[in-house]
Amino acid sequence: MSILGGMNIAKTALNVNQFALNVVSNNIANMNTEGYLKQRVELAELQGYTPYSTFTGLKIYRGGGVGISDISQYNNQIGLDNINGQNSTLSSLSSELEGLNGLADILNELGDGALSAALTDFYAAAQYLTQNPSDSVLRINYVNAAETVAEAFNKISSALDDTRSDLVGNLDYPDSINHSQAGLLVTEINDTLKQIAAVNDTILRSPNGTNELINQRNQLLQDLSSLVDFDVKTNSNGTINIQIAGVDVVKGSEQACQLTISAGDDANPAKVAIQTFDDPPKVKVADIREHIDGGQLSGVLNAASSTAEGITFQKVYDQINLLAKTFAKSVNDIQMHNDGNTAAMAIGLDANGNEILIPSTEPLFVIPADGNINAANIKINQTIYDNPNLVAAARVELDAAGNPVDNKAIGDSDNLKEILNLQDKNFGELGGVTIATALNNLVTKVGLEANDLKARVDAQTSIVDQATTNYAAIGGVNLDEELIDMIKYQRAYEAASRVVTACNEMLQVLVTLGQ
Amino acid sequence: MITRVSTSSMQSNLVAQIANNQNKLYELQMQAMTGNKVNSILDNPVDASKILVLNEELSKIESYKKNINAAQGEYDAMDNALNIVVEKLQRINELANSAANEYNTPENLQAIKTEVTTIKQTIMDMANTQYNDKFIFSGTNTGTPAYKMAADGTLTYQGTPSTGDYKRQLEVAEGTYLTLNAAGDNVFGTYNAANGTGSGVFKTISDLEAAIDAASSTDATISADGFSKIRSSITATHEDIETVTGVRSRYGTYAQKADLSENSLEENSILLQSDRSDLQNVDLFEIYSNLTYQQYALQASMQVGAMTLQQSSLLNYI
Amino acid sequence: MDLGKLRGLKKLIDEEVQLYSKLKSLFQEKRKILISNKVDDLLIVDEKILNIVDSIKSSVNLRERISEQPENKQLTLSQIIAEAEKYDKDLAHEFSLAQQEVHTLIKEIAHEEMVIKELLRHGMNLVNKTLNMISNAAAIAGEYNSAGKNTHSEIDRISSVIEEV
Repeated sequence: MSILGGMNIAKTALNVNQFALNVVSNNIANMNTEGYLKQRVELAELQGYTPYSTFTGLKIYRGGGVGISDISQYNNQIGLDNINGQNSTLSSLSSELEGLNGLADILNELGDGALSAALTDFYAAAQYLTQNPSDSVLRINYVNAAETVAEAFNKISSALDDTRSDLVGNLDYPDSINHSQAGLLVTEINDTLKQIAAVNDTILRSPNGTNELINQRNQLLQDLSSLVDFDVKTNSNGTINIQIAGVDVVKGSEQACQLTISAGDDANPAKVAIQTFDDPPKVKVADIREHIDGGQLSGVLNAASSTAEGITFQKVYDQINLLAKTFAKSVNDIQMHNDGNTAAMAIGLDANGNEILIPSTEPLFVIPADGNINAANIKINQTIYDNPNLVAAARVELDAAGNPVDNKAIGDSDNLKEILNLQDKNFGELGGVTIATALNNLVTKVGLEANDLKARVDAQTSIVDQATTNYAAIGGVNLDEELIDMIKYQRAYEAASRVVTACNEMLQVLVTLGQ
Repeated sequence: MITRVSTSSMQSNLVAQIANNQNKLYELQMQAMTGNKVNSILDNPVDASKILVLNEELSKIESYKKNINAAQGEYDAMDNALNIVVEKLQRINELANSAANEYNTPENLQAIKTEVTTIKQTIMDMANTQYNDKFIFSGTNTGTPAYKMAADGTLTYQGTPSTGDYKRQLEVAEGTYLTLNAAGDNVFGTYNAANGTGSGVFKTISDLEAAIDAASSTDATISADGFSKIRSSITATHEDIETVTGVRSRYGTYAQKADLSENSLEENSILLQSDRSDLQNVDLFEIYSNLTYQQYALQASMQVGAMTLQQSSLLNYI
Repeated sequence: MDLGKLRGLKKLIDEEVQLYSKLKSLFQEKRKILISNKVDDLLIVDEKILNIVDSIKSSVNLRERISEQPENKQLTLSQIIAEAEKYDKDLAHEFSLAQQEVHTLIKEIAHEEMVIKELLRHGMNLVNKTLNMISNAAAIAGEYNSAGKNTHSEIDRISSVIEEV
């Protein structure tokens, strides 16, 4: 037994404990770093040598002190996957909620300039006109009220258009797709995938000291989870594979595929595909919208889709267009009614300048070339606006020749009665309710859905918080623990140094013995 | 069970709680500020939906009220005109009685006839009454005077005939209309000077004029015939007075219906408006029971009239 | 029937005429109340009307007893006048005047009743329409519970394909 051997053993303790203190100090320094996992020092006994003992004649194992076998961090991949999964869901729900809140703002029927108020005022103007159907002031009032309805539709439509362009671009301007939210998300996703592949590569090439790299990669995974949902497969060489929509987009240190975005159709304005980098690229998935259901990308694509489930932005847009079409067509049909027996009549002048009934040939709302009126193009007919006498208030019987039986009946208001009947008319294409009720239902449904979604977002936020807390509970830095460890290692260091001192003293004795 | 809590998660919880409370505070402040519990459809979607429905109903009620006012105005105009017509007809009656006296000289008779002719013109003016630029007795031909007098004394009705679509109506409650006008030909009749045909007030008066002319004749037979015709016109005038009074009475009833509608709507719109500021289901039901009580009272009241007129001995006095 | 009874009858008839006059003004009051839509006052005036009708009925019974008619055999005014003629022309004439007054009153009351009937019908119409309005508002709102509309909402049934209207 050599004293020097003893001192060597103590020396390992000094080294190890000093190193351990460094690790503790690193933990404390990084306690607020996002995604940092506490590092632990794993100690192990060092192999000593096995001499024959000259005293006992036996092989005696003697330890060689302490060494550091590993600096580990608790990398709970399952826990991480769980957090990322919940986070994806939260991102997609939040993105949906933001969309619905935006919709609620646009559809704020309790505010000024609301569509339902404009419709009510239009019917009131028609009712007022029945008091004196040939009165020019009342006619102007009626035309103005119709214009206000058209403008209210226009306003909603343009606000919805702006929002949709923001989400997925505008089909009329193909370039706008890249600058839309969907486009930007796709770019961000591709960037993140590239970075993950790069980290994988670095991990592959440095077998030791990968803790910081793993932290970095986990951070990237978390970022990715808010963008889109994915599956992770860990490889035996420490790299990971990432799958989106069932396709490998990152394989080890290589990014195998990328996401591309292009214009779609009216029902789904943006199409996101997964393609390889070949030339020409091989398309692995033509449209990922139905295969993903997490992350902001899913939220944005669904909101802009007519075919996704639930209340989407696009569905509301479609419904508003349908309301505009139904309203305008119904009013126009009444304005220009002529079935051979009765006809709608406007007011004109006869040869002597007296007011008489003339056939009504002008629609109240402009009919575009393709015959389709929607919320964006509904517009008052300028001809009627300039000459309100062309409004058809009267509806009279025709004789065999198709002329009015009495063309002096300018006080007739039967056509206005038909307009007023529209208030209570149920339309099959609206689901069997009146126009006002359909609008009311739409608005209420958006409001209820938004409230419902808010509750779910709140719940999901708690879930994510809980999962994160759980994960951090095991892997995060706890200051108290670190301080305790610090004291532990300090004491060990002190103890070891006393051993050195003791050995030293022994050596001293030996050395001075000879003197 | 978590035995370890990382410091960072504790802090984030606290932050979340503070944020939550701030949201609640903001909501309450918004409510207090605008005095309205529902500011946006997100606040309370169900109440917002009810408000939208009530807004629609209130707008309809406002329209009905405006219509009622317009109706009342026209009923007044009609009543005034018909009042004058009745007075004038009574004067015609007196004149006819005067003229029937066979001791009248031709000069007397002609003097009477002059007054009759003047009255005829006045009655025609009444028939051409306008209210708000509308000729009220012309049916739907509101831009055309109801009557035109030709040089020969023919009085032609230019309005929508009473057999046609002459009614002008205003909506005063959901699906309930009040008819504003009476067709002129029903009230005043017509007269064709070429063949002496016609009906109603204008025929009676025109016949009287012709009869007085005949009575002024020196020819005894013609004169006798004239006086006889004068006497018939006395009866005819009575009938005319009844006709016009009947029209006046019918439209007087409509006017009273208009008044009732006005009062009923006034009450209901107040109820509906008070409901808007504090929406709770129980308010709607309160109005509902209030209205049901009204319904019961009206029905019971209907019985009283029937009982009165049948059970008392009113009908037994012959 | 002797003259004394006739004179007694005259007094009765005069009172009856007063009652009819009161009935007429009550009908006029009822009409005004209907227009003003004050339902509570309506019940009060109806009761007053029914009271007067009762008074008239008892007066008629009294009339029968005085004239010693067999039960339920009405004695009409015309018959009374005929009786009175036998004794006193002036008395008969007064009965005659009373008869005319009653005829006039009856006509006026019948007219009021006709107008009242119209008003009642119109009033009931208004009340029914308002009840409809209220139940519509309640129904639409009642369809929603906290989770959403109970019946399948229209928006889910609408396809995005715009159909021909």
